[in-house]
Amino acid sequence: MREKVLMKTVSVCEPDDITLVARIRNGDFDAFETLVTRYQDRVYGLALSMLRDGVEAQDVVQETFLNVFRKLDSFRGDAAFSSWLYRIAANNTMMRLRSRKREAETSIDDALPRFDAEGHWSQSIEDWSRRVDQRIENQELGEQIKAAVALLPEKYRIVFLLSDVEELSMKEVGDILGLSIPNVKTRLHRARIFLREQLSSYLDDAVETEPGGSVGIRRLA
Amino acid sequence: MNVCKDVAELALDYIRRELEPSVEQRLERHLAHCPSCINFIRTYEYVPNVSREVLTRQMPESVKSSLRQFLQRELKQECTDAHCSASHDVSIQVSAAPLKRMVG
Repeated sequence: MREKVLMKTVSVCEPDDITLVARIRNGDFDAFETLVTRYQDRVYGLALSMLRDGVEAQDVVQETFLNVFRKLDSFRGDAAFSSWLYRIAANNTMMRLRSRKREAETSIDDALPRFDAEGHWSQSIEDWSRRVDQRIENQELGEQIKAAVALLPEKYRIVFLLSDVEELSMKEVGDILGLSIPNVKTRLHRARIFLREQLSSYLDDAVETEPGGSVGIRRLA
Repeated sequence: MNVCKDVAELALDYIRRELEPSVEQRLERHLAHCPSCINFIRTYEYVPNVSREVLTRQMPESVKSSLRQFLQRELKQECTDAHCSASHDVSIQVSAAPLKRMVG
């Protein structure tokens, strides 16, 4: 999916990734710079959302592109170049997370929806999507979303970011993380359910406390 | 299938249109008379849209400059190493210019 999007955003004058890789192998460093420019924001965004630390995210970006340059000979072209690059970025990010002092992770099961004995919702579900549409510019809402994503346990967060933010296909995410497609789907589904519950909780509270106006603040983390 | 729990469990496959046609039809029959499930699907589907909007970020210009400086320094260093090939060396000499321009 991302590849298709990329092909649309790259103008007809710009070479595709594989062409750039071939040029780099022939000693064209400008081609490497073009690749860096093409992917730097995505690698940075992924690292920042995972680490929530701008300095560490910057380090991950540097390590990733240096690794890409050094390991380019090992890129065989079996998968998309973007998948290969994301795998390096994801590995660098996860290594940094593992080196941190382990914090207690949120239990995702606690946030799953509740049903009565017959399998019906234990409480009515509201549609808050239009309220979010109207308030997406609201910085506080943005912070709530970032906080909710940060609450996701790492193994769900990385799948969510690659699938739903970077818009990679299930297969690409599976290739990057070494997961089967059913496993990717399960993690993505649970991540979305968790985030939906978190946002519902925040937006429902906001409406209750401020019926006629802007979204109030109720910190998720 | 006639309960909300099934809808919650199959939401991803439903949105991605990956359900068996018979399962999809049964799910839609349930949705036709269950406002909570419709609202669940709408908001579940909305999570990636709103998250993408918030989490898609641009690297600050200062960080971009630092990245260029870092790569320029590291890759130049590699080319001064004894094992670096001659052609590689030339490529870096050629390549340093645009990096320098970007760093300013």
